[in-house]
Amino acid sequence: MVGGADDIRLDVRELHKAFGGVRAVDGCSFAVPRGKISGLIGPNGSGKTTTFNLLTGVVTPDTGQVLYRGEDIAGLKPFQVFRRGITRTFQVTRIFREMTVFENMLSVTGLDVPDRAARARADELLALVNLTHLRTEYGGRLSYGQQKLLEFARALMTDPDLILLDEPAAGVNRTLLQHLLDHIHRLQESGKTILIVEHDMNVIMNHCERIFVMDYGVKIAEGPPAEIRRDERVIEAYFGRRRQR
Amino acid sequence: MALLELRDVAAAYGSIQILHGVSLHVNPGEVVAVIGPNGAGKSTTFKVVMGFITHLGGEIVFDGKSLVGQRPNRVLGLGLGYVPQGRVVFTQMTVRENLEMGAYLERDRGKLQQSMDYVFSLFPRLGERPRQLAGTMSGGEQQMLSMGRALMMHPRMMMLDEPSLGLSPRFVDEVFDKIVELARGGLTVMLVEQNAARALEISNRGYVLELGRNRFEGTGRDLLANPEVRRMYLGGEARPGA
Repeated sequence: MVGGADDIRLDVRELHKAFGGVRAVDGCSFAVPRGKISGLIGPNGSGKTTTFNLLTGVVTPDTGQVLYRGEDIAGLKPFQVFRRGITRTFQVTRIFREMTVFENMLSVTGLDVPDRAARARADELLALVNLTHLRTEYGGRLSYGQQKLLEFARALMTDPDLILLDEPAAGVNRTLLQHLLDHIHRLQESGKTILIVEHDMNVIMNHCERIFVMDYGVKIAEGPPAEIRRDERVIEAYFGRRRQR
Repeated sequence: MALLELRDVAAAYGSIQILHGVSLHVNPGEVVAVIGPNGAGKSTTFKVVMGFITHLGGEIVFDGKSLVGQRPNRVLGLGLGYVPQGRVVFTQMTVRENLEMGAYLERDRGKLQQSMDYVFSLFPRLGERPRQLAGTMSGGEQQMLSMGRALMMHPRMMMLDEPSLGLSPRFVDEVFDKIVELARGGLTVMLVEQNAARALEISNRGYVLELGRNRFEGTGRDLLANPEVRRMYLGGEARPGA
């Protein structure tokens, strides 16, 4: 269970963000437990990706706080968030299309001349996501699923402390996905904190310890998978009646 | 006779060859799933059929006519609809305008309206808000709109590239239900899915591609039961009805 402040890695308090008249995130609060895998779910358009954007500086919140290791990181620039040990992937992939797969991997190291360790790490991670054979291919030549995999691998290049994954399963072959999930568990066991936005219920229900559910820009439920599965509001908003079995 | 047949098709994006000899066929009224690992050439197969990318070899025959060298608008005109991956809708256009784009080959206003009514009858939610901007719709609604747009030309066959991608569980159910409904109405369907188990459940037959070649084929049921297919492509677990 989430207890004292030490057990919380990311404390999200009353985040608000409106685009024009649309209140995409409308007073959302949740606390991501440290060293665990947590899930963030909700209907399409409920504000999950905007929340990720607010947590990582891609979008600046109107009001609200994001406390990470005792510091409010709300409103920082993406690179400042990144330098504090937080990485993410995107639902709509953002790779460098005119760089090779290998160059994409090295692009996040901040090194002008990537050292041997960085290159070795890049190769290890490419092997993990089955992209070794495309190492010298341009990023723009990869299929959507492969771009997702490249982003996943790249997100792990810098040994982040907090990893935010936006729909890691979308478009990824299910067998390869199992390997990625095994790897995510290894990261968790080594002390990392992971937060996953996902619609794949295998990922959410079988791999996340704690689940936050959003609808209309606010958190409507929170708990372990067994509880969330039975939550009436979540069933109504998200699973649909047929999923009750 | 098959409605669509590919024989030993090779295809490339620019200089990068992706398909190295894919053969498959789809009979009239069938639902056929194409599955396989990332980069296997599934989306590419659809794109070469539609004429979007470079065809290097092999035959592609739809309804007795060769599609090799044909442009996408011509392929569309022959009765082959295509729903691309990732809910590609015109976000700054209304629902009605998006649907009109799907029938831009249709010059007859009366027929256009008939098609619109037909799509609205299939997707009542679209009919309820013809003037809504597509960009403000939820992901599931955009996928319905994308399907509706492809149906505006009354295709005999539709190819759907990962129709469940990024959709919440509720909408995944709705999209698959809709595909089944369309198939029962006589539409021939070929779909690519990473939600492969789900796709095979609603398919008469399926093909597994790997590295641009055929790897397995069989009925949806046989592929679902095949231990090797399960282990290599479906995530390994037995997940009946999951």
